[in-house]
Amino acid sequence: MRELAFLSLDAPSADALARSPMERRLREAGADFEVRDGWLVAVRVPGEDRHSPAVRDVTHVLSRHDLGTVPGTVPPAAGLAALDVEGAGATTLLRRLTELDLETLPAVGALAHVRVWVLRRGEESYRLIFEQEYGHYLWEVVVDAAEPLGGGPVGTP
Amino acid sequence: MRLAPRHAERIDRSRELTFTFDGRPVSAFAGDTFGSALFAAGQRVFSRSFKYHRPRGLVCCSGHCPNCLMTVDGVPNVRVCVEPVRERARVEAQNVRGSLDRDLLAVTDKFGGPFTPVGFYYRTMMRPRRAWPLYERFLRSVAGLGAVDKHAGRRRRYDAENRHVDTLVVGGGRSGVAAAREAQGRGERVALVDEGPEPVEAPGVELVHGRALGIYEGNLVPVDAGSILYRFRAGRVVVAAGALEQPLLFPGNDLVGVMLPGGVRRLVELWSLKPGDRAVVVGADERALAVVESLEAAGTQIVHVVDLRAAQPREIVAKGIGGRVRDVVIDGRTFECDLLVASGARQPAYSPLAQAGARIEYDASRGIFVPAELPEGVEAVGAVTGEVGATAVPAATFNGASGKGKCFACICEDVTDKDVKRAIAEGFDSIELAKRYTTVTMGPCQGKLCHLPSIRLYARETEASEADIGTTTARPPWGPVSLGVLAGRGHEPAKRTSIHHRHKDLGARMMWTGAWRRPHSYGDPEDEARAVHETVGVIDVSTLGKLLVAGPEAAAFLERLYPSRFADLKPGRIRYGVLGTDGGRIMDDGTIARLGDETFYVTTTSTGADSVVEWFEWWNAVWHMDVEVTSVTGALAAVNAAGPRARDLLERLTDLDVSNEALRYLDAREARVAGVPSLVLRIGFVGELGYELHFPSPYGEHVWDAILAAGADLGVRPFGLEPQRVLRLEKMHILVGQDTDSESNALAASMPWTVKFDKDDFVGRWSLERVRDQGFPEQLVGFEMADGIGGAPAEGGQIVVDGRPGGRVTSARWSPELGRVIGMAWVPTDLARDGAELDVKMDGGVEKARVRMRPFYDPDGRRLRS
Repeated sequence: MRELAFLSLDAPSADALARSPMERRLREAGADFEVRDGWLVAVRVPGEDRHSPAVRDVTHVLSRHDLGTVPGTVPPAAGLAALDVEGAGATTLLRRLTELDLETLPAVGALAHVRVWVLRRGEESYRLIFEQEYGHYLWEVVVDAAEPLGGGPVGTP
Repeated sequence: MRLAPRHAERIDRSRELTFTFDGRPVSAFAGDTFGSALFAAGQRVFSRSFKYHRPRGLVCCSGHCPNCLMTVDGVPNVRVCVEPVRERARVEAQNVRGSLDRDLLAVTDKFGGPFTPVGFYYRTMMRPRRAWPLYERFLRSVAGLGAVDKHAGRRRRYDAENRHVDTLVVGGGRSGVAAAREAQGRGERVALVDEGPEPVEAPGVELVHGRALGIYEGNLVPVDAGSILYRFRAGRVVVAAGALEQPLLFPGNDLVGVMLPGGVRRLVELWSLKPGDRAVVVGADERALAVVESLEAAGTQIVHVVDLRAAQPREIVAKGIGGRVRDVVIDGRTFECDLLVASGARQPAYSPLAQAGARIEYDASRGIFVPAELPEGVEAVGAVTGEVGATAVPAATFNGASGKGKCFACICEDVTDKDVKRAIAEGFDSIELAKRYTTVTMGPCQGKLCHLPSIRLYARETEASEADIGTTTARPPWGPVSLGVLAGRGHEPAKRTSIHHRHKDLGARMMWTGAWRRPHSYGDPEDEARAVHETVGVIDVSTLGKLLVAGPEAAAFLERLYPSRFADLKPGRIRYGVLGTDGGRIMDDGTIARLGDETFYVTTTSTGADSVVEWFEWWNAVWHMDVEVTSVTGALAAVNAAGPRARDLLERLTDLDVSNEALRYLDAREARVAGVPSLVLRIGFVGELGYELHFPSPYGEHVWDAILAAGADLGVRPFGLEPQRVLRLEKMHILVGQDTDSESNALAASMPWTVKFDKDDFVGRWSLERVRDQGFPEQLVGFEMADGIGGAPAEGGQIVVDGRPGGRVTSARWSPELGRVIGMAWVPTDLARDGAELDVKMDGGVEKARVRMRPFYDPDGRRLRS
């Protein structure tokens, strides 16, 4: 298929800001933002030092993410959003949201009834990739499940 | 009152806690359960029974029986004998009118007996018939256990947690721990589930305190751990559920002070409590009789011991005062006592195994049921396999001659031996039927304490053997479970476009369309529609399904899929297409833009996006064509800007030549809009000059903001779905699923121009040819109501022809632009001509309407092309 410019995230002019579907939720949580590579990125969230497991919006790194390592058919990067969940309690948090066996990652399956690609980044460190239209919903679900474990949103320093 | 400290006691006497029971403070030690603390405080009556409201006390102290159900912190039916104490908890008795000691409803015990046998409400309360609502209201007010707090859902949260293990052991007794440690030694992932109350010593093994509710397909074992439901998926399930002491059936067997040996032992050994002053012990095996040692250690005087293995008495009658045991008569000898410890054989707790598919057979020599032939992946160890030692088989009942006093086969549901006999006399002579009629085994204990005794009673009364009677089907859950645990957190996935929050900022009223949240309107649908007709309106159409179809055979692929022609579509041009099923029915519709010789951009309806993708992929797999289908629905946001000033607006945002000559109606161009690479489609769903802009989703807010800023002086307005529905109706553009259903085809839907019979085969061709040749009885038409009628008929409302139902309205709206009510409807084909008169049913009456076969607004499409 020939490259279609209107599917690319690389081409826009300097003043065009890209936003993650979770940007508004982070703003409501009081996050500070910076512009990085054309993306509005949350860099700090109030209370983030206390949050474990930490829930981090990493949608802005997806266009550089090697989606070839992700199982199954993945939509173009512009159609995806991503969260990193890391720190003590991350595994428990994911166990509360998905039936996937976290010992056999990467995998794709239902997480809170939505199709999510789950990747392992470390011992208690996971990356969730999903269709961006569910970003707002999944942010609410994941942060809500993180709360009783002592977790919450954090920024990308 | 506590005994002197004992070596195995679980209480920490240095840590005192306080909670309230029916408003009174009760002190406890850490390690106590609410039940043990209440017992220590002198409480003996723990509940009132289900039907007769008889006083009931502790029996098993293991969470099996129904006798200690209380409401704790608003949660009903908590088994307080196993619920650890919590500081400042609020414990309340339930199922009483008054108090535990003086329950007004206890009159049912005194007088209700003859009137309230099993199934009484089917009989006693049948007449007079019209009084049933009265009876029902009364019955409902007294039936059930505990009251549900309807607002509890907002205060208490439940979670579910998925776990994968190699081996899951159910039961933390000796055999269970041994099995867990052995598996652990092999390097397996192991978890051990135990519901207590006795502590489990299994160093190194992950312990889960909770109740395994059942074993489901694929060794899925849900475990109820209070506020969390663990869903274990195990390679191997080892059931070490142990065995359950079985009560004996004799008059007065439910009096407060009649206990099972295990319950007595736990009171003494775990919580250092003295179960009674004077005890009579009746047991059928070594283990039951060993309770004598615990009692002696607690300073209880042993009045009499009956070893059922030596000889079985004909009669045991417990007599009480105020519901509490005062003395026991055994074959004519009276023993004064306040504690009667009685049990028959220990029955292996086979239910989880049976429910997983094991066969259950009767061991006549010991009078118990044992599991046999376990399903694959399920193992059993310890007492549950039938290793319960030698035991006497107790008589079905010890009623003797007097027959006085109630003898309970089931203490959960207050079913007596007489009820069972009556059920048999009435013809309920199979155990499955009798279970449903008498409700024995259907109460909170789920048969743990009543299944075997009732089978034994059945066998005696029907003169059959227990093996012939058999067991009832074991089904999960294996014990009471709160609905909150099963429900978990409510997750309702919602899709939102990347512009969603801007709509909220603008005060949009959101609505569900499929899984999407979309703006219904921004407060004034009429004004929004007017903006589209007079200046320019913008609507977020990111929800449209979007597909790229690319490859050397892309055009041929679409030719085969759609009844329309695409081979001759020139690059940069757009065509409308109706997608049909292989039965020729309308499945979806949308626009197809040819971006290049081998690349097509296809849009679908918002709710049809997923099924169209599947449809394309399925046919691609069938035909093996050189085509790649990619869904880009979520990757691209889309905004439709429509209205006479739309060109002026677009011009300000792009370098593209947007003149009517360079960018004609149904042209497609790639261009930068507000600095973002976009696809510009000139189309006209809402009937005015319009451009659909498709661009990467992350720029949704950026482009939307740019449009509103650039168009401020042009009078740009966002519009929602409601005004869009009116606008498209003015153009008689169908909504698939609204104006069509699973029977509709493109010919009958008045779109014959989308079907090209003069091309090669396409999906649904045969069916559409039949429709063409044989005709169709109904056709989709537009209609307009007479002047002066302001209200629109209901969608789905009736079209009346010659006084009979002759069709149905699919869409109807007041059009401010046209100043009348317009709509679409299926009508008999002979009425599908311009000007034909119809009657439309509304508000009970019938109103006149006229058929219109061409768009109500701008029928020649001049505005679209301008």
